Amino acid sequence: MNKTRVLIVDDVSDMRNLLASSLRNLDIRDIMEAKNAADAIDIYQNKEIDIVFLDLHMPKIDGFKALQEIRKINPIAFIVIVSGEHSIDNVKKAIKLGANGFIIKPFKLGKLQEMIEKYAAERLAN
Amino acid sequence: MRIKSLQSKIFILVVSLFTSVSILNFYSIINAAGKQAESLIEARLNVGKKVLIDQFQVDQTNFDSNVATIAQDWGFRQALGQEADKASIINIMQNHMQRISGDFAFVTDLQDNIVASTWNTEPKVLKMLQVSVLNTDSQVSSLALIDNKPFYVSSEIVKAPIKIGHIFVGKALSPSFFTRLKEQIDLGISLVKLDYNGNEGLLSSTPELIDKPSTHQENSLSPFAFIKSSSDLTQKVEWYGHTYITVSFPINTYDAHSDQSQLIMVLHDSYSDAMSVFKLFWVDILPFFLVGVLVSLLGAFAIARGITNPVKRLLSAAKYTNPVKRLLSAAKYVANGNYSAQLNISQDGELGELAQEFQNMQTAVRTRENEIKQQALALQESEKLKFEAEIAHKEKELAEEATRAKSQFLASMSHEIRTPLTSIIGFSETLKNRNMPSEDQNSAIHTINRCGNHLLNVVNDILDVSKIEADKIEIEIIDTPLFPLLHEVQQLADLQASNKSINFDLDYHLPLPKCIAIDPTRLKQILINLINNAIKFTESGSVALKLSFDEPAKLLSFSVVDTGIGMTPEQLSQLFSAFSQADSSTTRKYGGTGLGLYICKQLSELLGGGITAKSQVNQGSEFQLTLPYKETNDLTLVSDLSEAKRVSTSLASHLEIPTLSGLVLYADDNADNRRLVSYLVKQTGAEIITVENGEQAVEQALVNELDLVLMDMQMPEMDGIEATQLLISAGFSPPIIMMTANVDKGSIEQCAKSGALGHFGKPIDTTKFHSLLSEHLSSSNHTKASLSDLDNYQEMVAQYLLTLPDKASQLSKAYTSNDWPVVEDIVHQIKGSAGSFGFESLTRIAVKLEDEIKQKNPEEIDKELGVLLQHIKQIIEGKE
Repeated sequence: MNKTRVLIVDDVSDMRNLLASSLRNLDIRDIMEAKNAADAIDIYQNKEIDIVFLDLHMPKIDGFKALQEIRKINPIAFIVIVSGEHSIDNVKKAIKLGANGFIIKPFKLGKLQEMIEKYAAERLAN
Repeated sequence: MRIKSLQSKIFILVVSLFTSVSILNFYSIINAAGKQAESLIEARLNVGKKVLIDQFQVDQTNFDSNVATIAQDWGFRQALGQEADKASIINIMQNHMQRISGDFAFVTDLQDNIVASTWNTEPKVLKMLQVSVLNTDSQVSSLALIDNKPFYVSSEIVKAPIKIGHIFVGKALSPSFFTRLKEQIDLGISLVKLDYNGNEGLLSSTPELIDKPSTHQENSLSPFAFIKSSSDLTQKVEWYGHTYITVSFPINTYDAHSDQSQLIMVLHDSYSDAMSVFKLFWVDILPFFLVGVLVSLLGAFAIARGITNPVKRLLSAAKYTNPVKRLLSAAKYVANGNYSAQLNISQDGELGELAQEFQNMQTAVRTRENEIKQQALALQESEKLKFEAEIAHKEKELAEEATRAKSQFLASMSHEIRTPLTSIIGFSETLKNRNMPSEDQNSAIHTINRCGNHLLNVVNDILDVSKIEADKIEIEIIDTPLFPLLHEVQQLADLQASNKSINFDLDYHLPLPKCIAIDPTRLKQILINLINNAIKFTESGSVALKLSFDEPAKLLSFSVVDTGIGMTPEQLSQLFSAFSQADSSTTRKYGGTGLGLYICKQLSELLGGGITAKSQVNQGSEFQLTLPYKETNDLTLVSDLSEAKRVSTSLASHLEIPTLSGLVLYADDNADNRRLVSYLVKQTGAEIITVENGEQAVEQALVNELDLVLMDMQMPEMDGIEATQLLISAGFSPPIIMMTANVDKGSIEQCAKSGALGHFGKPIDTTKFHSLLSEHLSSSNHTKASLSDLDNYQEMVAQYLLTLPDKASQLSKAYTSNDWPVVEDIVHQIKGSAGSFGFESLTRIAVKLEDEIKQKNPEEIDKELGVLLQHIKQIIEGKE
């Protein structure tokens, strides 16, 4: 079993379910979900999280803001953006704000796996 | 003697009396009828005007409300309010532009500075548009003339919640708007730009004006008046050599270049055409007139004889001349159109009868004229009513048809989307059952996957259709070698056909042109679609693409003939409408969205041609695509089969080309290089996406499942290094290879630092490039895109050669004007590409020159540049 602890942040429950079941397929069991950025920040503060999969388009606080907030809590947080919009500006902005990965919806399982592997490699390097 | 003379006098008197009365009557009736015909045209024009204005208002109101929606867009207001970067705001606006088919949008802050614009045009235009919204707090909309094209422009205040700026959105008034109107009102519509000095410019006209001078008539003095009030003007004008009755009305507009011009909409009807109605009327009353003249002649003759008979009465001439004089003056009255003249002749006998007859005639003529007037009025009224009713009917019909088509389309679309969705939902439900046999599970998963892909095809086709319907499809006509294109189509068709064990044949009816001017992408799309259809519906036998060229008619014809299931006449008649595959069971059995043929048909029409179909059930079908042949620089006709084969299918046997599969992304701003790399990658059977800069590369890399990325190092917008860094940061893992003409240590280090896996030197060595591909792509055993094509390669070399004179002249121009960045850029391009096309010596000179430019060594630069230009000249002249 993969011990990685994951937080999924998306306002659409279907997306959360899809991500969660995809991650379970990759043998990740420790999965938490948040349906908005405020909950996500709250959970991140109080729980041990390794990877955050973060949606960009959310009401009230969007993904960019959430990304910044989580970075403030943990400067080396591993955050992967999962977005339906792949405009270069979003990508640039996310990377500038320190996202560790950018996945476009709809995604293939392989993309998630790549991110998990990238996380593992970075943790190993540190 | 006296009797005879009196008899003839009276005869002449009475005849002239009757005739003059008739002629004058006739004249006045004709005159009145002519005026009525004119007023009929006027009525038509006025109805037309009403329809036009209504349509304008509807369009504009729609557009205004769309713009208001954008101004209220939460994301947009937030981006503007938080002073987000320009690119984000532009991005939001561009998304909206796509949705509402707008052409430009820009947003200004409270100081009227432009914050962001999707549009590159002179600030002057922006300033013009801004003037109108100063000091207003509501939406302002108008028509604007920008570069002589009419646009709806609407501006709305952006609030968050206080006013933070203005958004301006423009949308070109499309030609289809006028074509549609033309159909409705059946009048010519012209758009005339008129300035304060009476200078006129014809912007557009439906239908094309006859005898319109080929040159634009800017600054010719206009027959139209600059209309100062908002009212309209009906007038008869001599315009382009024809007489038109026109109604023109001004449309207040901003003009990007002069604020003193007016856009005048001119509705016109050819005067002579319209007067034909009047001619009919003329023919109607002519018999009356002739009969009248005849009757008067006979009458006069009878009267004259009757009077002269009793000789006695002749003796007292005065007894007659007095009443006759009175009769004459009464006749004059009548001739002047005054029918109330009373004749007091109480005399008995024939003079009395004459007077009585005169009275009767007068009454009859009066009655007749009144009747004719009434008829003309009634005719005019009924014509007008008929015309109005016709328009109302046509409008209603159009609207109903549009609604019907729309709901039909929505129903079909909903059906097309629901069907696969039902399977997806249904089968995924069944997967919840853990005890399901794994066989069933697999089958369910396959179905879900298949339906998902089908759904994707439907959505893509719908996007294509909506693009076509919104006139957003761009057709790019370029000189295209015909045989290589057909060969490409053949390779795809062979693959499909061999999967179903049927034959695909390519029949040339020679001679055929070697090169045609066409949009190759669209032509391929149509042919592949037709062939795929044919293969899909053919279980055994063959599918053939037959090609012929009608030289005198300048028509190219592509026939796709199959031996498949065929179609019934009903199916055939429905064939080219959207969502019309025979029925949904066909869809289930054969797949497809039912939009393919519709798209093909529309595309073929955009290319200036058309598609027709013939079919018999169980015998097969034939689809014929006919396209106009447009000449290119190469007028060669290929008339020899072996030559045709050689041009299209000869194998470059001297090259060992690996057979590979996978998807490659290649970013390069140089079109020559993109063509070459595409060609080299496709040669192996692998697929390729090409883009022009780093930004596009990042977007495509994140969306597609790539196996390899090839990135040019120097590109505008975002270079290869930055794009690679961004991709690596975004967790992108497939290998990225930097393609560069800079092989110095610094560049290579930079390239390694960016996260690229390696670098590849330009100019491209074909063998090395193929081994690079083999290293990163998996080898495949499916039929390799068999290739060629030495000839294809030569075509590319030829195309490259064509770009050289331009490059040379740009280079010398930049050099004389000391524009060093451009000089460097062109030299760099030549260095990177010339060798790839077999001009190694040119690359060597460019390397040397680039070096001298870096050393800033003026004498050497001058010398090497001369050598380079001389060498290019030699190459162009074929001496190299």
